[in-house]
Amino acid sequence: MELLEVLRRPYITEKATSLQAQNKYAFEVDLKANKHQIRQAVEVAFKVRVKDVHVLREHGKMRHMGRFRTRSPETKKAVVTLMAGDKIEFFQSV
Amino acid sequence: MKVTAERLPESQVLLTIEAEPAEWEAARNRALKELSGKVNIPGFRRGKTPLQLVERFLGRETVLKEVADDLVPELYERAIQQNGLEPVDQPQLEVVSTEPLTVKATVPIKPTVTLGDYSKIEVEEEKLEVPELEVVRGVEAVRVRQAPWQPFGNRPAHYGDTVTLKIEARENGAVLLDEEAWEYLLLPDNVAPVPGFARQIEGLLPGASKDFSLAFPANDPRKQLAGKTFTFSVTIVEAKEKALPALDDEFAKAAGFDSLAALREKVTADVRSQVDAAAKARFEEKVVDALVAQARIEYPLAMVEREIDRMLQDQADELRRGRLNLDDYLKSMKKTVDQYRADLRAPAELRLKRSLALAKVTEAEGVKVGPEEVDAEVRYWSERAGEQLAEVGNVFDRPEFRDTLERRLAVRKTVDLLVAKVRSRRQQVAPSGLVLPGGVQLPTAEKGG
Repeated sequence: MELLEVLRRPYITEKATSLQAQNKYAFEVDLKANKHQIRQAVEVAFKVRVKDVHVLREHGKMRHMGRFRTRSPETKKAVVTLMAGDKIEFFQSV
Repeated sequence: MKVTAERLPESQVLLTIEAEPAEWEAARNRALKELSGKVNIPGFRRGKTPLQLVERFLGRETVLKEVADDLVPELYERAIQQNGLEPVDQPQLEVVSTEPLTVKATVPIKPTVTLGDYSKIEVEEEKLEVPELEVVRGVEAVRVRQAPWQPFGNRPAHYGDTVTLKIEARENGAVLLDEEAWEYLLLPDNVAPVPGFARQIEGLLPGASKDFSLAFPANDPRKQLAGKTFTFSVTIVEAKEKALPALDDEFAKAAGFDSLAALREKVTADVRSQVDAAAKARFEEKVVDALVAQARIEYPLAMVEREIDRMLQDQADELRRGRLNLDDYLKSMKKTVDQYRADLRAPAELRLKRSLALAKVTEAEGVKVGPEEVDAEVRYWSERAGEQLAEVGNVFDRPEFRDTLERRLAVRKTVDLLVAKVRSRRQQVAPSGLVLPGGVQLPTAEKGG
């Protein structure tokens, strides 16, 4: 997988914002990405040092479209902890 | 806050208000907080969104508008106080720039009245004669009132007579009227029972019969009658006319006077007092107009608009008493409200000028209205209202009505004072050519009282 494909978008939510106080940043990442790839992607994209990566899978939810039942796509979230002193400027403006 | 004030014509002040950066920043934060509590932003509960994010989500324009809405009234209020202005109406506010926030406010302020030397007002007082025609009419009215109804049989009925009718009116079995002796006052504008009925009866001889049909107009408010045609069958049973008594002492005595001369005297006195009242009102109006003419009065347009509002309101009240409404009235004159307002503009300005000039005189002359005078006025109105008052409580003694009375009394006293001044001078000044303000020369006046 290309490094650029790993990070899909930042999570900008109340919870993610509050995590920034602990120097943690949340992303939605590619389903097939592993912790190593995420660490590498964040380090390259934002020029920071990553201390730790936590990942979790969000199951797709059942959706109904009239008679049809479908499932929304499954996603993978990553919470990246940075080394003390580093920060991601992109989120600072948020 | 930086403010510059500039005096404009028509009693207005232009304030240019600029907010300090700190004020602006504080207002912006307030606004963002306010907005964050109102707007749903995905991922956040209301009011929990970081402020920068709120601005990014809603867009700069929205936030600036909110800031202006919050800050402009506050700045305006403070600018008014700082400059000691007394606005009489809402200002026209214009936001010139948002960063820094600059507002231009056009404020209508209290009118300024500069009276000229009103002690030199000269107005000619007309002496109106009692018109003989009015006296004759008055006597004639008494005569008609005094006259008994007397049957006649030898001429066609005409308007003013009373006829007794045997009448039947039907439409397909429905009976409108079926009377043996129906008293009917024959007048051209009598619309009962059907419009046009009187015209059918006029000219009939007593004892004569007539059959005719008449239709109710389609827009008659009585639904079951509107548009229906009734067949009338009418016989004049008896016709009566007013038998005018001879114009002599006999008749005067019957009317409760000593003689015809006494009656004439009474009527003349009545007309005299009417004429005098009219002449007095005319004179007062002229005095006040002369006062207005020599004064310099500057007032904001907004006050004229208020005055027009008041006049419209008064007229609407007036019409409602006659069970009409203003919209219909305007429609009947084929005018829109705006056109009508334009018509009222000139009279409104005149009224405004008069009341402003008079108020200034009241102030200058130190005219005072004491509470006991207001009390007397309250008593007068209470007595006129009589018994109804017990039901509603004494509305005339309420503070707002007392205020109105006090204002009215002050105006009354001021006018009286002015009139007295003008009169007393007229008696001192030799009756030469009168000079009105503006140098208008009037022909030599007779010595008035």
